[in-house]
Amino acid sequence: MRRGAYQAIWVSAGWVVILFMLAPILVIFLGSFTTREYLSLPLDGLSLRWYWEILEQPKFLDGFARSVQLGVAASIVSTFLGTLAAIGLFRRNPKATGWVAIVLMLPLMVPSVIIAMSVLQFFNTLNITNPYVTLLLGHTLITFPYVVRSVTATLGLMPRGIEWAGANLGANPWRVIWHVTIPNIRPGVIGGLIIAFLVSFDSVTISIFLQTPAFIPLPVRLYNFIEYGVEPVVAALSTVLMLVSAAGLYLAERFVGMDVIFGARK
Amino acid sequence: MATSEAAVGPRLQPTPGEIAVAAERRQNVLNWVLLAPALAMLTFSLLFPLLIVIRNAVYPAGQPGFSLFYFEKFLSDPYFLGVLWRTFRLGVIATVVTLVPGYVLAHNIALHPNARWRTFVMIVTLVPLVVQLIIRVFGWLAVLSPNGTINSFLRELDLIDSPLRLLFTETAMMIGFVHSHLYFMVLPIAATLMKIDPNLLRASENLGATPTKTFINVILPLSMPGVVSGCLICFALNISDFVAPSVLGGNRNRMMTYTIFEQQLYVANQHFAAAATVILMVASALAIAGAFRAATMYGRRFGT
Repeated sequence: MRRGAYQAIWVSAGWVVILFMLAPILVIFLGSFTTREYLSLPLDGLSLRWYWEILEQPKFLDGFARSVQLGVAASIVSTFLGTLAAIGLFRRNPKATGWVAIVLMLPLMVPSVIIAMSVLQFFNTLNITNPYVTLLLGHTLITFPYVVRSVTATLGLMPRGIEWAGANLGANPWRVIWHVTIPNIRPGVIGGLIIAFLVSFDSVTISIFLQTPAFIPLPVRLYNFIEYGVEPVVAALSTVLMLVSAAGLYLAERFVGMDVIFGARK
Repeated sequence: MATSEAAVGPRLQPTPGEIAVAAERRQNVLNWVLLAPALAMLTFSLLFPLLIVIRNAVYPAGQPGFSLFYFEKFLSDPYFLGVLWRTFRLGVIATVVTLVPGYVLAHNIALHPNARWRTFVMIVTLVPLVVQLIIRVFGWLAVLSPNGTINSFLRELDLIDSPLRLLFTETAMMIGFVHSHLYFMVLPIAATLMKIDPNLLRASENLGATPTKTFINVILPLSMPGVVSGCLICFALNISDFVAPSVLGGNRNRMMTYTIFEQQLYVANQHFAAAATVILMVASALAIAGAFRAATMYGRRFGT
């Protein structure tokens, strides 16, 4: 009995925290269906007008296109770099530890503001102001550790014997990597690609520092927009984006596990 | 083995040992070739940029030579000192505030008997990582603003006449910190709680301790390594957070990260912004180093 009461206290405290965690998301979701001109709860009617309104906002549509461009480019580059690096790291040491592993994970340990400032000042020094270059490098930097993590996790699941079998049958190491290793780690590579895209699409801090008026990704548009008021159209757009990233994560989860995506694996 | 064979006499073919050494060398070269593109990218977009920032911070514009001019300027200006102090203070308070809900979720995830409830709590913990940062911040704006959810409910219930000032306060910033970084508190605590030997809990119960006593005398001390590392990670994240504190805190509650942003992009004082970045870098590096030290100390004491 006493033990039941003990767990009941933890569960009720848990519900309070869960409500807190979900509150802003529920407010956005419900508020996006408002019939009024401002985000108001409780609702006095349901309407999809704010979802249609998204299409009337060229700023958001342009930002969305920019973010997709950037996300696709950055995730492809970081998948290439990250996959090769993960294979190299794993071949050196299957436990993927040591200084090389730490160096590869550094972009996750250095705060975004510091990364953004450094990249900006570096390119200012070199007189490179093309946002395609600076944003692409910045986003590659922050997304590629996720690819390394995802690929390393699937490498660990691969039976090592099949690589030795390939080598014994006379394949040189490059052929082994191309014909044996890569096909076997495909889930990790695709999962890493999806996560890299989502991380790039989400990243605000780096983009705020590196944007130029000619290239403003969607999160930066939203950052500038929400400072002036709480508009229902943003709630509608946010709901769409949440569904998109939930779908992406669901896909990534099917290729690699949740623990890999969120770094719960030690 | 290779040496004994080599001593036998003249030979035409390499020994198996030599073949193995050569193969290993080739493999090693291959590993570095695979790692090279990534390491080159890291050098070019992380290492060099960091060095440039440090250089900009200590070499003033227009005059040759090393100087701590910008650091002196930062640390002698009451406004910037205030920003630094606020960053540290809010970083500490937000960490302590995150610890309570963090422990609650971790305890539910690690020690609740029902597996489905454990999974559910874990998924909710992951929500902030699934929903984009800017959307979460927008959600809190919608909850806290003068026309927001809280104020309209209170007005509906006739509890207030004029809206409560919730936005652009330290409370709003706390909410942002906790919501963003809770996961990083839950994870290490849940990990240490899961490692606790269930026999210890049974032993405590058999010896007559109430569940509360077991919690205070067994569970809590054993989870301290997780608590300490969770707190230090959260502190490092809090002081370097940019988006949530600048939107939810507003003009009156600026932190180090906003000062860096403002000096770089509005004031266009590159060197001063670099110095502020170096100060933040040192502060978060110290927090992380402290985390490692504390974790090893607790590790030694509790044998985890």
